[in-house]
Parts: sequence; structure tokens; C-alpha cells
Amino acid sequence: MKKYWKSIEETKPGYTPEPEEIYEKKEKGAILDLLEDKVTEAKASRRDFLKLCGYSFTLASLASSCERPIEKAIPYLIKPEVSTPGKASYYASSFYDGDDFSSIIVKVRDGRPIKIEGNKLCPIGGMGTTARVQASILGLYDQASFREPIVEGQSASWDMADAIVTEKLAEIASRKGRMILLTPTIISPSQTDAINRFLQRHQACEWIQYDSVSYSGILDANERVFSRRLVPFYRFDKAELILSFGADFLGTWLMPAEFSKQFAVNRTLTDGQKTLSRLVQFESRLSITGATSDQRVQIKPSQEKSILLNIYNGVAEKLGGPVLNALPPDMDVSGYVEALLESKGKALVLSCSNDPEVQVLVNGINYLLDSYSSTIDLDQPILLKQGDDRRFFELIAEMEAGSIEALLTYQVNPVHNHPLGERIAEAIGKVPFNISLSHVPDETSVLADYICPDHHYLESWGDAEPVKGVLCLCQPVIRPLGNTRQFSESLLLWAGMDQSAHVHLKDFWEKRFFNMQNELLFSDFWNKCLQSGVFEPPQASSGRLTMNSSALLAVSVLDVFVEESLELSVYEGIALGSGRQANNPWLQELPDPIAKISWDNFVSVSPEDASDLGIATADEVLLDGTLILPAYVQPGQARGVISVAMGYGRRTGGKVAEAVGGNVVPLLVLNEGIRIYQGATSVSKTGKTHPLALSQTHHSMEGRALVRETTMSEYREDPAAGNEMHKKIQKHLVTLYEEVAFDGIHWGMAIDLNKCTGCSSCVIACQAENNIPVIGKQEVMNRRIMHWIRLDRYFSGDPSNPKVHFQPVMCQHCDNAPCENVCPVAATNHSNEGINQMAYIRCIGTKYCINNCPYKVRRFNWFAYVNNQEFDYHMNNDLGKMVLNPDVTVRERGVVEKCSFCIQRIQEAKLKAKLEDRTLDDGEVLPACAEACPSGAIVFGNLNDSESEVARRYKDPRNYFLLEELHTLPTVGYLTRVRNEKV
Amino acid sequence: MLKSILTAREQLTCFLKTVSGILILFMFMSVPSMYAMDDEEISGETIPTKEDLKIGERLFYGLLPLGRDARSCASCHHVSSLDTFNWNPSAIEIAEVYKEKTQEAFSSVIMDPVTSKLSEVHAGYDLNDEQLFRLKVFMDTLSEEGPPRDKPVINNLLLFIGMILLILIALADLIAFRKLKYKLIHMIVMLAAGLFVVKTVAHEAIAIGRSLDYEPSQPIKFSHYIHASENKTDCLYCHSIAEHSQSAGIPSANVCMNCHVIVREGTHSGRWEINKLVNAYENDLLIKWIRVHALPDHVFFSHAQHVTVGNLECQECHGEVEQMTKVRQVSDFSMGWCLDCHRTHEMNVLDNQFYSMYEQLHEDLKSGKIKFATADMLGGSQCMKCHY
Repeated sequence: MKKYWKSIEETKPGYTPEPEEIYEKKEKGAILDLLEDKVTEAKASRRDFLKLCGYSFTLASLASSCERPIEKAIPYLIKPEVSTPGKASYYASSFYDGDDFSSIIVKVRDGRPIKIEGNKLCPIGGMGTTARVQASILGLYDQASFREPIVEGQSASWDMADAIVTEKLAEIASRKGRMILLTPTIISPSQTDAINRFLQRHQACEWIQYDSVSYSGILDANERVFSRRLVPFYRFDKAELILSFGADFLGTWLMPAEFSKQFAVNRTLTDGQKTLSRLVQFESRLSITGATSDQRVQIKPSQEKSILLNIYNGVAEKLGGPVLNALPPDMDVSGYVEALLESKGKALVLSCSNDPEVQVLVNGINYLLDSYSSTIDLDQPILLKQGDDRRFFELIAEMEAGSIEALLTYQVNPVHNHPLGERIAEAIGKVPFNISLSHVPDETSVLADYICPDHHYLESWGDAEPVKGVLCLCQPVIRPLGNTRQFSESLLLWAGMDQSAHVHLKDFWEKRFFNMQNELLFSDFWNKCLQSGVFEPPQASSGRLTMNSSALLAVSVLDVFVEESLELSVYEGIALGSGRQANNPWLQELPDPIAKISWDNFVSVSPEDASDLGIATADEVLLDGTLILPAYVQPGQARGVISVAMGYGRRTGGKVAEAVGGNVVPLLVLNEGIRIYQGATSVSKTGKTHPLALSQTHHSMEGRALVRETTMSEYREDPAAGNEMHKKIQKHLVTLYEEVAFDGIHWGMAIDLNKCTGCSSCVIACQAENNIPVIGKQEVMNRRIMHWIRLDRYFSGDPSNPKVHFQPVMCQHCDNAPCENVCPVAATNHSNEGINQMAYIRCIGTKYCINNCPYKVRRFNWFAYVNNQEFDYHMNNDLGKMVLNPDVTVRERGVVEKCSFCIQRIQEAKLKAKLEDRTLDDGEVLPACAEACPSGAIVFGNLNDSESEVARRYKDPRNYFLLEELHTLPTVGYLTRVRNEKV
Repeated sequence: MLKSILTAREQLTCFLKTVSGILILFMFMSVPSMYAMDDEEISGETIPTKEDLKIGERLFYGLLPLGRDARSCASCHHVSSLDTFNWNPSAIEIAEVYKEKTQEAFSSVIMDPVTSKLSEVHAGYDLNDEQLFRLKVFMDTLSEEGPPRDKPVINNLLLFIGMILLILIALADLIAFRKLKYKLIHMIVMLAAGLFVVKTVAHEAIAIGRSLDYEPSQPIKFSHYIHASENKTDCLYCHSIAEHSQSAGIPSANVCMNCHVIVREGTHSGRWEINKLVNAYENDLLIKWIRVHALPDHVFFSHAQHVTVGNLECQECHGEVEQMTKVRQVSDFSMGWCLDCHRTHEMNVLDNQFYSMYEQLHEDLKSGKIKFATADMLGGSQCMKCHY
């Protein structure tokens, strides 16, 4: 059996898994801390006992003689048809915050939006969502958001703000002074219309789009090669071979939810398919795409260009393109060239590089391989990234020169996410009239003298066109919580049009999109679009592409970096991304799926470099002499490269965001104004350590056969390859007890490890659905993280380039559950539907069940996490508590909790079927994790129904159970991982 | 020997301390709070004097004559809350409404009322303007100061404390005074009193969080008897969402207005109570009903499951609400009470397609192994059916 290991220390000879002593000291220490000086008094005598008896007797009699509190029941005066107490309503809307897009369904209970799901009617993303989309619901109840207009630091009315703004703008316009409207990429056609109206009124105003994470490289390359400045749409479902250079398309790159969905299509073996796509990932840091890949090649960022150049030349030689000058490659690329030629027409090469020349090469390879007719679609480009880095760079100088008289910013934060942040902050200070229309305070919006806040997206009307030809609507699901006003409404008003965003949107759709169909009247058309959230007008194809080879010929041969120096690569983390949602405690506490670190960004150092530099995990290091961050020794990190996540180190943005991590973006350099997310750097130790909230070794499963895997060639010979022990174990499972039969329903879950990418969407979805508390860095360090789904990550093989395995582990709902037998009060027991039940009201907190659970999936509430100043997150204020799901108990201190298979959803679906007098359909009951999973790795259903998807997966020879040799009979099955390794 | 006596004494003092602690606590609880009376000037043309208030109060209570055959105001419009149900608006309610209104409006409703019922009962009044003014002064003061506080009912409490005292006396006599020769008497007294104390504590403790027989006064004197029995309105006409939601739902005011847009005068209450509804509806005011039936937060109960799927009559849990003028909770809504029904109540599993998947159950029914299905057989007595 392969040896699996969870941290680099384990591979060293003489490793002992964390000394017991230290662990115990920590635990005891934490408890003693609470008692502090009271410890000495705690000698209870018989007298104290009697006193206590007396008091409790008194209290009991007092309590019993008290009147019950009067509870009011206040009905609506006029009940809206759509809102029924105790029943949820669902609305289609769209999420877009300038970085990510998702068409969503919002669940509203008693007027409060409480959960976000993917919209399965939308062709983009479908039912799956990313962790950040799931978490965005909490942003609605963010205390830090702007709730009213602010004029020169003082709260003001809209009338006052409008009077000042219109007057100033008119005055500047009369002088013909220059104005700038700075926004992220606007994908909303109606917003674009509002902006255009504003620009018509203010002729001297220029509109610049600025993305928080730049994709200028791809845009520029496509302009050079195809004369079309756009990001094409990628079709991973049509690709047999994918060569990805650093693009973390399953985690953060462009549209991870959509790409995960597509990618999963060719990773499915459950429906009789016998082929898999092959993903080769060239990268320097270990991303989740790299972890999921079939082959991972470690390269330095500086090598990328020369490798691509050589691959291009290899392809061009065979397929007849212009051959370019190239330095000899650092590695042998002929194998990749051959593979690419073999899957011509079904290959896809992509890169995350922001260097246009690199992207030109990528385009060249794809063009020669005929990818543009299959795996890449230029006719339906992705519209999420249209920012122009060069124009923005020029703007900085213009602002510094004082030639800009007014600046209107909306949801952009260059002060934080541009390498020249400090300079930009100073330059903005030189603009005499500065308005921000952002919804949340950030480093850029606080510089504004006038703040005219936009609604939160869940309070807004709007539309979105994430991909050309896919139109999504966005509708408000709650009345604005503050005195805010929509961005487009403000612009329209300042353009002299007093029109609400709703009316404007509707008029705009009537004029622009209504005539693209001829089946419905407008009101029906509008209602239909609003209900489904999507409208797809027919699209015309633009015909054959021709490549401009002069762009290719212009690619220079020289590499940017000197090979000797240490290189830095900056990436978007799974949780925070560009840092827009940094004030979201759910995301801050979400462990990085690879490093398993929450509440920090860190410097990933390869094990070899770490030993060369004498760095250990949690050592503080100084980057470029300016930024101090903790180091983390990351297996799989390319030698000579360190990686740091952006988005951290926010100075303004709310109490959760501030003072977490450090901002690495200022260490980056610009290349002709374009942000390049890699460069040279230097590292030195400060001698101090910075404790990391690591969940790396906690809940370790001690090297048993937990993740089972095989290769494609072995799988073709024997579908049970890698899972041979399953049959053997099944044979040996005998019991003296009578076997329990489940009449009617026996719930079960199956997780396809071949599809799980570690994107962590399920973790946040579960947290949102089940009122799971946030406990903060210190408590995570104390190993008390509350997430009901633990996304285990294992390494295997060579520590310098290990294979990575993800395994989501929630309560396994064992039919022979070890936890149930040891509960002294029967607070946990088994239901007739096969669910391991947990009655919080009955639990007395002995934690016997936690000790006896072989999967370590039970969590203990060490503290009251609600209404507790020590845990000052969303559950400590009335606004934040609005996100709580009323169908799930908020657990109190001293009780054990764990995954319930989303019992509230099960009960709801069963009741729905009963009310409609019908049987339950397969797939009707979806726990939050299964619903959120973008790749469809998790399925849930009734095992008694032999036709159900979960029952079919259980019959698959790849299916196995965690620690099945213990005869716990779990009802969460795992399907073996199959890697399409090169033979 | 000496040592052991000392310990016994020590124990006694400790016990006495505890009990006296309890008593002191109870005493604090029952001391009535004193309210200071302040004379506040009421703006207006005439400034009311203390004399006005005093005479107004006397008029109200009928200590001064109001007219030929006229009953005192207090005989119908009670000041403090009553144990029995009374259709007439209370003095406080009237005072609050007329606080904002003019003297003329107040005078006219007494002397020259519009509605038939009021004209009938107010027929004998013969009051002059000054008397009416003084009555209003009294009413205004009443609205400001609120009703006189009820004296706490302490019968049970007194008995409880008395029993504890009895035990103490018996104990003291047994150990220190030794006036009574026969120790059996001490034993019997202590045992009897002890039993009573234990019973009271246990009884009260079990009732914590439960509210059997809870029967609060509502902001509007809404009678289920009049609506459901006399006028034969179906329960689900008003509580329609009980059929498809967890909550039974207090009907919103617009549902009331379906009928009350026409029905503006009640047989018993005249216009007063219905006007509260109309006023709330027209002026966007919330009606703050007092919730009678409330389950603890950790219980997830669905009306739809019981009403629509289980086909239970409302009365099975809520009692004969249609006979109640004031709604009272007739079941204790304890878990045992729920489970009793889940285990014994026959459930129709044949007519709902959903239950067709329970094959074993259907077989057992057919073969006569079980006579009928209960909720329990489908898992209805398991923790996570109600607690999650």
C-alpha cells in the first residue's frame, strides 16, 4: 500500500506525530486560562455543597414561581402573497462583485435572505457555486457596509449629497475639466446604458474599467493575434488533453464553478464511460488544479515562456506554422508536443500569465491545434474581465499631474490591489473632487470626500452578461437595510434622469432584448426571465478565424528574470481571492485546501529551499525587506519559487478584514503598466515566529487506507483496481447482532473522489445552511474548528512533488455507530431512516461520542459562540444573526454537534412530497454540500431505491467506505480516485 | 461525642441560614413597589386641580350621583384586570383612546352616543360640563398612571413558606426546646409538611416552560366562540396557512377585513373592539396579539404535516377553541403528550402515495400483524423528526 502523509514532517525519519505532552499542556492550559486565579479557591467542601444545594433550591423555586415571558405574535397587516410565515420563498438573481459571477437562487425565509444556491437553469455554472458566492450572503449583513451617504465625513441625506454632486459636476463640466469614472468590469448591459447616459451628459468624463485581478495579458494577446480584445470561453468538457500553465481554473481562474462543471464531464466513470480527460498542470505553487491534475510539472514562473515557446515550435514544425527563435528548453517538451498533436482538435492549452507574449504563444499553439473550433470559443467570449491595465497606469500619472478634476470610483480598490497602491492613494488625494459609490468601505473608498453608497447586490435590480449571449437578471430579495441607492440610479439622476433602477432596467430590456424573441408579450417575457433568472437570445457565429502571425513573430526570446534569484508568484487564494470579501468571517476561517491554514496568508516555501534557508513552518520571514509574513513549508512547491496569496493585509474594510495577513501586491512589478503576478524577490528570517492556525495534523487518520486510488490503465483492466480490499473486508464483516432493516428510506451519500477538486464550496455551504459558528484564529489553533465538513488533504509519493488527494469527511452516519453506544444520555442514536441523530437539548457534553468516533467528525461547543464578545463575528450582532437559518437550532455551549445530512432539508422535502401526494423523486433531497458542489462529486439519496443515483454508485466497484474494516457500516461511500497517468 | 454534636449543630445552622435566605428572598419579591404620585400640569384652557381629579374619581366609581337610574362607570368599565371575561372596554382602554381626543368628543360619547348599544346603557346619565370635564381629568390621569397594581396572589406561596416554617419549628423543638414529649408528632408534622414542599417544588419544576391553562387577555377581545360557533367560520378560513406551512399563522388584518369591511358592530362589544381592528388596518398599526400556544425553540413542529397529511382536527390539540371566548391552552404540549399521540393515534398510510415506499409496513398491515399504522412506526418518535 502507498504511504500517505499529511505534512512534510511525517516523511522525515524518526517522526513522531506531535508529542502528546505538548498537546495535553495546550489543552489544559486553555482550560486553566479560563479559571485564572479562581483555581486555588476551587476546593469544594461539604459546606459549599450544602450552600450550593440551598441556592439551587432557591433558584428552582424562584424560577417556578415566575410568570412565563409574554410572547407576542404579530401578523402582517396585509399579508403579501409571496411571504408565508414558516415557509421559504426562492428568487433567481445574479451574483457579480467585479471578480466572480454566478447565477443564483436566493432562499428567503420570513423576509430574510438566508442562503444562496446555484441556478440550475443558467448554462453558466449551473447548480454549483464557489465558496465565495456561498459566503456572499453574509456580506448583506455586514456591519461595516455604508448605510447612508457621507459628505465630508458626516452623514448626510441623499438630497444634500445629490445637490453637492450635481453642482460640482456641472461646475467642472462648465470648465471642461476632466473627470474619470473608475469601475470594475461592468457586465451589466443596463448599467452600461446608465453609464453611457451619464457620459453623454458629462462629455469630459472618461470611463475606465479596472479589474482587481488583471487579465490584461489574455485580452492584449487576443487583440494582437485575432484583433479582438476579449477573453475567450473555454470548453473543458470538449477537451481530451489540457495543458495548463499555472491557471487554477478549478479554484480561482475566471469562472471556476463553470469550469469545474465542464471538467467533471470528462472525469466521470460512473455512467459507463471508460475514458478520462488528461490534465497536465505546469505550476510553481501547489494549486487545487495541480492537486487534481493527472500530471503535475513543477516549473518556475520564468521558465513558462521558454517551455511554451518550445512547445509552440514543436507543434509548428509538424503543423506548419511560423517557427520562432527559441532558447533550448530546460526540460524535454517533446512528449507534450506529441500528446498535443495526438489530440489535435481536442486539446486545450492555457496559461494564467499576464504577459501578453506568453498568451500570444498559447493562442498560437491553440490555433495550430484547431482548438478554436472545439475547446475555445471566441464567438461567445467571457465578459468578466475587460479591464485595461495600461489605461489605468496612465491615469495614475494624470492624477499626479493634477489634470483630473473629478474621480468617481465604484467597487474598485487599486490602493490595495495595485502594486503602486501607495502612489495611487497619494495621486487620488490630488484629485479635488472624489466620490465613491462603493457599498463597503475599503482603502480606496475611504479616501473619497463624498460617499454615495450603492446597494448590496441582494438589494439591487440589475442584469448581467457574464458570457456573450447569456443574459441574467438580478432582483432585490430584501428591502435595502440602509439608506443606500443603486449605482445606476445615482448615475442616471446625475445625468438628469430621475428614474428608479427597476424602471430603467425594465425599459432597457423592453427596448434591447424583448424583440430578440417573438413568442411572448413583454410582461410575460419579463416575468419569465425574472423567474428563471436567465434569457438566452439566439447567437450568430462570426465565421472562421484567421491568425495574425506577425504577433507571434514579435515574441521576444529573452527571459525576464535572472535564473539565480528567488522568484515570487502571487496567486488568488480559494477563500479570499482578491480580498474583496475579506470582512467575511466565514471565508477568513475557511482553511486553504492545500496548506490547511486559516486566518492568514503565508509564504509557501519548498522543502528544499526551506532547509537551504533554514526556514521552518511558522517562522516569520521578511520579503524584499518590506513585508513580514509567516513561512509555510509546502510540499510540491517548486524549488526556487515562493508563493503568497493576495487579498490579505487589508487596512480598511471592517474589523474582521483588518490586521489579517499582509498585502503582497506592492512587491509586484508592472510591465508596461500591466500587472505581472510574478517577479524576483529575496527572503530573510526575522528570527521571530508567527503562530499559524493550521489544521494540518489535527484529526489525522494515522495513515490508514482512507483514500484509495488507481490509474486509468489499471482501471480499464479491473474497475475495482485500488479497491481490492473492499471485497475482502466485506467478506469478513460478521456480527452477532440482528441486522437492522430500514423500511422505506435509508439515506446515503456517495462522494466521487475523482471529481472532488478541493474547492471548499461544500464547507461554506454547510456553514451557511447549518448555522455553524466562526471561532477565530486562537480557537482554530486550539483545534476546535467547527466546520461539519472537514476537507482532508493527503500527500503521497515524492515529498518534493507529491500527489495530492482530497477527501471531504462529514459524519459518516454509520449504521453501526460507535458514538451511539457510548452516550450516557442517549442524546445520539439512530433513526429509522439511517441517520445518526443528535439531540442537542439532550446532550450533556461528556464528549464520549467524540472520543469514540473513528472519523473525528463530531464538534464540541467549547464556548457560547452566540452573543459572546470574545467571538465578535456575525453571531454577536443583531444584523449578522439575520443570516441564521431558522430551521436549524443554534447550539449552546457544552453540546456536541455534527453533520445531520441536512435533516431540515430532508424533512422539508418529505413534507412537500406528502402534501403533493406523491413519492419522493431521486435527487429531490439535496444536502447543502451536494447542492453547492460545482463538479457534482457529492450525490445523496435513498439507498432502498435501487434506481437512485446513490444506490447505483454504491454498486460501482470503485465504491468503498472509510475505515470499513471497523464494521461501522457508514452510509457515506467514496469512489476511488482514478488518475489518467501517462503509461 | 462533643465533636459530633457540634457538627450536627453546624449542620443545623447551615440549614437555617439557607432557609432564612430563601425567606428573605421571597420577602423581597413580595414587597409591593411604591409609586410616587406627581402632579403634572395638563396643558389646555383650564388647568385641572387636585379637586377636579378627586371629584372625577368619585364620579367614576359612582360615589357621586350621575343621574337618575344611572349605574356607575366602574360597574361596566373595570379599572383593574378581571378574572372573568367582560365585553365592555376597560377604563384604561377608554382612557388611552380619549387621551388624544377633545373634551367635546368625550362628552358626546357619554351623553349622546352614536351606537344603539351605547345609547341604551348610557341613557340615564345627567351630567353637566364641569362633571364631564372632571371625569376626563380622571381618565387622563388613569391613562398616564396606568391601572392600580394588582396585589400579588400569595396563597400558595404563603402555604409553602408556612410549611417550611412548620418543619423548622418541629426541628427546633426536636433538637433544642423539647416541649413536646412524643417524637412521633414531630415526625408526622415534618413528614407531612415535607411532602407538601416536595410536591409543590416538583409540580412547579415540571411546569417550567409549559403553560397549561394559559389564558392571556388579548389586545382585541376576539371571541372564537362568536366567530367559529355562532357564525360558523371554518378554522382554516382564517388560519389558512396551517394547511401548507409549519406555522398556523395568526391571520393578517386583511383577512379579518374580508368580513369586517361590512360587519362594524358586534352583538356584545358594540363598535369598540371592531374599531380597534379597523383603526389598525387603516392607519398601518400592528396588532400585537399575545401568543398562547408556543413550543420551545428547539422543537420543529409543522402544522402542514398534522393538518393536511395527518388529517387531524384542530381540536385534537387545541381543544374546543370554537367554544372559547378567550383562548386557553388545554394541553400541556409536553414531549410525552406528543409521543402519546404518535404511538396511539391511527394513521392513514394507504391514501397518500408518499407512504407507498414503506413496503414492510404495508405487508404487516395486510397480513394483520399490526392492526393499524401509527406515526411511531414511521419513525415519528425519533429525536431528529422534531429536534434539529
